[in-house]
Amino acid sequence: MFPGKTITQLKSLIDEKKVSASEVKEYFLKRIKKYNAKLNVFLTLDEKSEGGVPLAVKDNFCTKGLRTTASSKVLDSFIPPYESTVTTRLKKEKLLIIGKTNMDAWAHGSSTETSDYGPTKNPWDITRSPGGSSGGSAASVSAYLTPGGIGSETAGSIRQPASWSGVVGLKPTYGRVSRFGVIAMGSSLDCPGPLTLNTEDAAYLLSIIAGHDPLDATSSPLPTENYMDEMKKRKSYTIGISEDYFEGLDPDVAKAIEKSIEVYKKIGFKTKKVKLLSPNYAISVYTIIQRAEVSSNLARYDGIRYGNDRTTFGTEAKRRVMLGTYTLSHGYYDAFYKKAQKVRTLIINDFKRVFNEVNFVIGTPTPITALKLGEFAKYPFFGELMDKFNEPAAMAGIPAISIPVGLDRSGLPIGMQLMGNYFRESDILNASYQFEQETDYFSVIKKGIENYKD
Amino acid sequence: MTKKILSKEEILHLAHLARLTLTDEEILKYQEQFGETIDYIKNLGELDTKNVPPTNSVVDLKNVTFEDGVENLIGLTTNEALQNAKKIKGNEFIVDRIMQ
Repeated sequence: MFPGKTITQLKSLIDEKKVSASEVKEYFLKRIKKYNAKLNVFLTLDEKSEGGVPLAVKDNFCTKGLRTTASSKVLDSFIPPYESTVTTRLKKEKLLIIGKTNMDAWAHGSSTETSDYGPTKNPWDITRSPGGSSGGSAASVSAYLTPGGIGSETAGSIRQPASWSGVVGLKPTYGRVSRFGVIAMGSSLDCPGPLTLNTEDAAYLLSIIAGHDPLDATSSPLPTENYMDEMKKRKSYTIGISEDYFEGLDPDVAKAIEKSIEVYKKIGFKTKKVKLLSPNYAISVYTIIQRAEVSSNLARYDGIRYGNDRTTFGTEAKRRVMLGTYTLSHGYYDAFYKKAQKVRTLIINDFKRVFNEVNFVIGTPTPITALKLGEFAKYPFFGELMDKFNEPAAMAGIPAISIPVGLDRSGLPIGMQLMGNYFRESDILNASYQFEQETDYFSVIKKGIENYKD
Repeated sequence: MTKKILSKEEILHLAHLARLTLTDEEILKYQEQFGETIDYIKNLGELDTKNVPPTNSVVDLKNVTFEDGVENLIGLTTNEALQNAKKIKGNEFIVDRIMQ
């Protein structure tokens, strides 16, 4: 009935009364029921609520009256008594939260395999991971179980699954989107953002969820922009190329990124070589700071006020809490935590310096395409190494996008990443939109959906 | 195999601080994995940070507070606060005895 229609297209159809909101809802519910058993995308569905275009929301956003688990058995039966700001704003715009999607438990992971409810399957190849931690929301969009989704990032959890599942994923500037009601992982890093079928939808969802929220003290009071309008202005930018961000790429991924740079040159963008700190330092800063914040954030789960007791934590959550407890403990605090905070300053200054010269730094969210399920568990530190190109932007708090730029030799999607300056989401969306207009690379998304017939 | 930098007793002490119970298998696994992780993060020592201030937050905000007298948008009713608790008595949470 609506093959591959985007959020904004469906919204127009509903607004013009060409279809009813309930027809749209029934259409997607039917698709969800047809494919959810195969892909394990949704943990909880809301079949009763009415609204407009349905969205998939990661299960770490509190939804009043609708079970919210963060994919952990600790919160197996948790019914939030309040609503996150992001979902409040989406509902106000008449978007329908049709269900809550699977993720790595507490968002600890890059594959959804640490979920206590089993992994989500990559719609492109169900023996592979969709990426994570927002893997459920990415897979939902990729298989068109919903025309859009909401995920969250601590370091790569939107961009990496967007890349592996072949959709668009935007990580906004830290503080641009409220964290109120999002189950906290790394509080100085966490950042909600959209997963969509095209750039316009990313701009549309961002325009709804971005903006100051008095309920989140770290939310920025800076004004938002009209992302939909800014996106469509024909602008010319300079793209920075840093060698360290091309190290160790799979040859197909490297080729696709190089081809993307050529596309940008063709439409009049300039390129410039820049030198950034090696992403290998961001891995260490991230590992220390994120574990420390995890150990502090997960301390609240006492099983008294809500949830099950601490014996229900999975092994990955325990590993992170333990390491965070260690690096924050007496005698190690300065050597690990404080040192990491100082290097974080260096990473921030490094990006600020480079963004005086260029508008973006180009690269990929992941050096390789989707891995087989089970691969991550073999190497416990592997997830961090795999996320090395996502961690610098996360530590600096700058915005970045992943967009599909083709398929590798096995027919799996490849993502290209643009990192931008603080609060320059409109520039990132603009460059992404121009790329989308210029190429047929986004046909990757349509190709993915074709495997999931009504 | 990477070296174990923490003894079993140290792992158990950390688990106690974090109020976690670990299986013997987990203790052994964490001993090995922490060695691997801590070996990796030593690369930060390559960077000179002597005169660099630490970053707590990337947003440049100070002393964010509510104005006195504004509407409380985040309060819960007693029922809402209790609705997810496993053990309650009247309007109170039941907690384990601390002093024996």
